[in-house]
Amino acid sequence: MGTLTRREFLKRVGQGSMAVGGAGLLLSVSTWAQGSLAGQSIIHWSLLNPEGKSLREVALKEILGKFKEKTGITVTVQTLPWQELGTKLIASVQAGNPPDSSRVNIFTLKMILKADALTNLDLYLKKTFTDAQRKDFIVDFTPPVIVSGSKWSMQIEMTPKALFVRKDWLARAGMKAPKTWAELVEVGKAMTGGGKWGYMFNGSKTQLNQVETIFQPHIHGRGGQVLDASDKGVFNDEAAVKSYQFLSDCVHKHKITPPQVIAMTYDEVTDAFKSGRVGMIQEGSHRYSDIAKAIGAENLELAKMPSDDPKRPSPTIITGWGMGIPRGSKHPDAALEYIKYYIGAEAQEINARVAGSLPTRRSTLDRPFFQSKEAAYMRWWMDYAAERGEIIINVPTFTQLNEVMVDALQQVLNSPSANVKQVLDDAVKRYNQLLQA
Amino acid sequence: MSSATGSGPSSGPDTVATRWSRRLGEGLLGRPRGGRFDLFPYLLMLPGLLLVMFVTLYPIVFAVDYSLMRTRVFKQLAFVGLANYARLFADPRFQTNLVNSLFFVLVGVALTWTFGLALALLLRRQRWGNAILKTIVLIPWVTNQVVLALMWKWLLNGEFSPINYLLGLVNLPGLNPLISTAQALPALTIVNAWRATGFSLLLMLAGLSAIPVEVEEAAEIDGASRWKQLWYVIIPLLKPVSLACIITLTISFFNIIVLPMDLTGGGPLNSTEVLSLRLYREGFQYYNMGSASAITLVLVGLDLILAWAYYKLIRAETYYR
Repeated sequence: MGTLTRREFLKRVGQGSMAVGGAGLLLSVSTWAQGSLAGQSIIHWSLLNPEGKSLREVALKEILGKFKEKTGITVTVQTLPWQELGTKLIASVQAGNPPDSSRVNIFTLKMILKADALTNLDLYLKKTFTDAQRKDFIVDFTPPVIVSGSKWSMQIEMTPKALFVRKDWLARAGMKAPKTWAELVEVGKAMTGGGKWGYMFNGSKTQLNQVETIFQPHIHGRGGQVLDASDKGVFNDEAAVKSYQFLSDCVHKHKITPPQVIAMTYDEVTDAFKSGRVGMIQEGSHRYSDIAKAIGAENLELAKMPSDDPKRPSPTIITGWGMGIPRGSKHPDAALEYIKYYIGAEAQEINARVAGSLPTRRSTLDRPFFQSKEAAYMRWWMDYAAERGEIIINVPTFTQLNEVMVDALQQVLNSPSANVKQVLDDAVKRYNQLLQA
Repeated sequence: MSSATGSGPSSGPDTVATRWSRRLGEGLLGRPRGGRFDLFPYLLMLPGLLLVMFVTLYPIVFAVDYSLMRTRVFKQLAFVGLANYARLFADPRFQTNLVNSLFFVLVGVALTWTFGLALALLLRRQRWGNAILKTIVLIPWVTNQVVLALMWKWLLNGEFSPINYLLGLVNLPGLNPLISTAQALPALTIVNAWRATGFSLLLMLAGLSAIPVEVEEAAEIDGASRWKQLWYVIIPLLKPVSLACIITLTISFFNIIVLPMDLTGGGPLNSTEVLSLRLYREGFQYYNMGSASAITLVLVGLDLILAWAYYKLIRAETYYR
C-alpha cells in the first residue's frame, strides 16, 4: 500500500507541471483516430446509467455525448451493481464474452488480475505518454496500482475520504467539527437524540468491500498497520484493538451510534446521512455533490479524519474507479480511445463540474473551473490527499480481508464484553490461514 | 379414424414422418410392432434431450471435476482428491451454513405450504374480490427479490422501521431482528415464506378444485367436523399437489441467494449465511472454484435426498391420483 507524503506529492506536482508545460496535454498531442475508428460501437461496463438522475450519471451522459462528437465512436453503457463489477468482469472474460471496456476499482484490481482478466496497457501507454507526461497522474503510476510492473487500468476519478459533518447540527450545538476521536464522541453526544444519531459506520456483510475503508484511517491513524509488507494480516496490534474498541464504545458506551449499524450497508449509512438521521459519517468525494444536493451545501462540512493527535489527522483513504480493457475485448483500440478521452482534461472537468469527482491529473487543476469558489472543496480535498493521502489496500484477497474484519467487528458490536484483543488475534490467524490456502 | 384422416403409416400420405420411418425400417413409426424397438420417437426427442443433458449434466460434470482440484480462479492447478470436501466438512462455518440451510428450507417450506393451504381454503369459496385477493398474495412471488429485501430491511430496521413507530404508539417494544444472531434467521425464513406463499396458494387452489365436491359432501353427511374433513379428506387428497409444491419450494429455497444476500448479507456473525450464499461467495467473490464446486455437489445431494424423502413420505399414503 502506498502512502503519499506531502513531500512526494509536492515533488510530483512540480514534475508534473514541468512535464505538462513541455509536452502539453495528452489530448492536444495525441492524434484521434477519427478516420479508422469512427462508426465503431463499444460496450462499456459501468456502475452508472447514463439515463440516470444522479449527478455522476448526468456527467457520464455529457461525457459520452462529447466523446461521440469528437471520435464518432458510440459507447453503449451496460450498468451493473458496483459491488459486482469486478466479479462479473472475471466471469465474462472466462465466458469469452467480455465488454470492450470496463470500470475497475482499485481494490478489486489485483483480484481481477489474478484471474488474468485485463489487457496489459503498457504498449498503449508507451505510445501515448512520455515519461514526463506520466508524472502528471496523481495515482496512476504509483506502486500500489502498478501490478507485476505493468499498468492494467487508468484512474478516471480520485476518491479520497473525509468526515462529513452536518454543519447546521454543529452550529445548533455550538460546536466545531471534531479533530480527535474524543472530540467526535463529544460532538456525537450533542447530536444524538430524538431519533437522530451522532456517528454511523457500516457493519453489514452486504457491500462487503466497503468495510476495510472504515478501519484503514482508524488503525493507520493510530500508528498501526492492517497488513505488513508481505501482505500478511497484522490488524491485532494495539492500534487495531483501540480502533475496534472505539467503534464498540460508540455503540455501547457513548451511545452515539445505533446498534443497527451491524446490519447496515455503506449505501444505507449514506442514505441515513442524506435523510438527516445521522450527523457524522466517513464518506468519499464521489458522493459529495449528491449529498450536498440532498441536505444543502450550506449544511455540509468536510473535516479531516480525526485522530488521537489534533495536530495530525488520520489518513484519507484514496480509492476510486479506473478503466481497463478486458482480455478478449473485440474493439480494444476504440476502448483505448474512450479511456484516453475519459482521462483527458475535458472529461475530467465535466466529471468535476457536474458530479464533483476529483481529477486524476494535476494539469487539470490549472483549468479555470478549479480556481472557482464552487471547486473550493475539491482543492481542500486535494490538499488533504497531498498531506495524508493513502491509497486503499489493494490485495487479491481484499474481499476475504473485508470479511474477516467485518466478522470481527460484528463480534465486538454484538457482545459489548468481548475481549477485543482475542477477537482480533483470531481474525488475523484466520486471514493468514486463508492466505496460505 | 386413422384411415379416415390418413394418418396411418402404411395407408396415409407421404409425410416427413413416414419417409423417415421407411428409411429406418418398416413398421418403426409411433409404436412397437411385432416386438421391434421403435426408434423414431427417440430420434425426435434427441435434440431436446441433448440440450437438456448439456445444460444439466455438463454443469454437474464441471462441478465434480473442479471439486477434486486445487484451483486458481478457473485454472486447475492440481488434483487433490476429496481434500476440498474434507476441508469443507471440517470447517465450523460450513457446519453453521448447513444447519442454517436446513432450518431455512425445512421451516420455510412448512410455513409456505401451511400459509398457501390456509389461504387457499379461505379463498376457494370466496366470491367477492377473489381475483384481487389472489393477485395481492401473488405479488411478492413475482416481485424482484432485491426490492423485497430492501423493503423488509426497512420494515425490520430497529431505528427507522414504521412498524416500530406503530408499536411505539401503543407502548409496545420495537422489533430489531436483523441485528440479533438468534432472531435474524427466523426473520429471514418468515420473510421468504411470505414471499413464496403466492406460489403455494396457486398450487393448492388448483389441487382443491380437483377434489370432487361429492367427497366432501359425503364426509359432511357422515358427520365429520370441518377440522376432520381437512385432516382426513382434503389434505390426503392434496398429497400429489403438495408433493409437487414441496419439492419445487425445497429446490428453490436451497438455491436462493439474492434475498439473504440483500436482507442480511449472511450476518450477523454468519447466523443467516445459508449454503447457497456461501456458495456464491466462494465462487464469485473469492473465486475458490474448488470449494464452490464441492458446496454445489453437497447442495445437489441435499436436494435429491430431501426430494426422495418427501416422495417416499407422501407416496406411501396417497389414496387419490
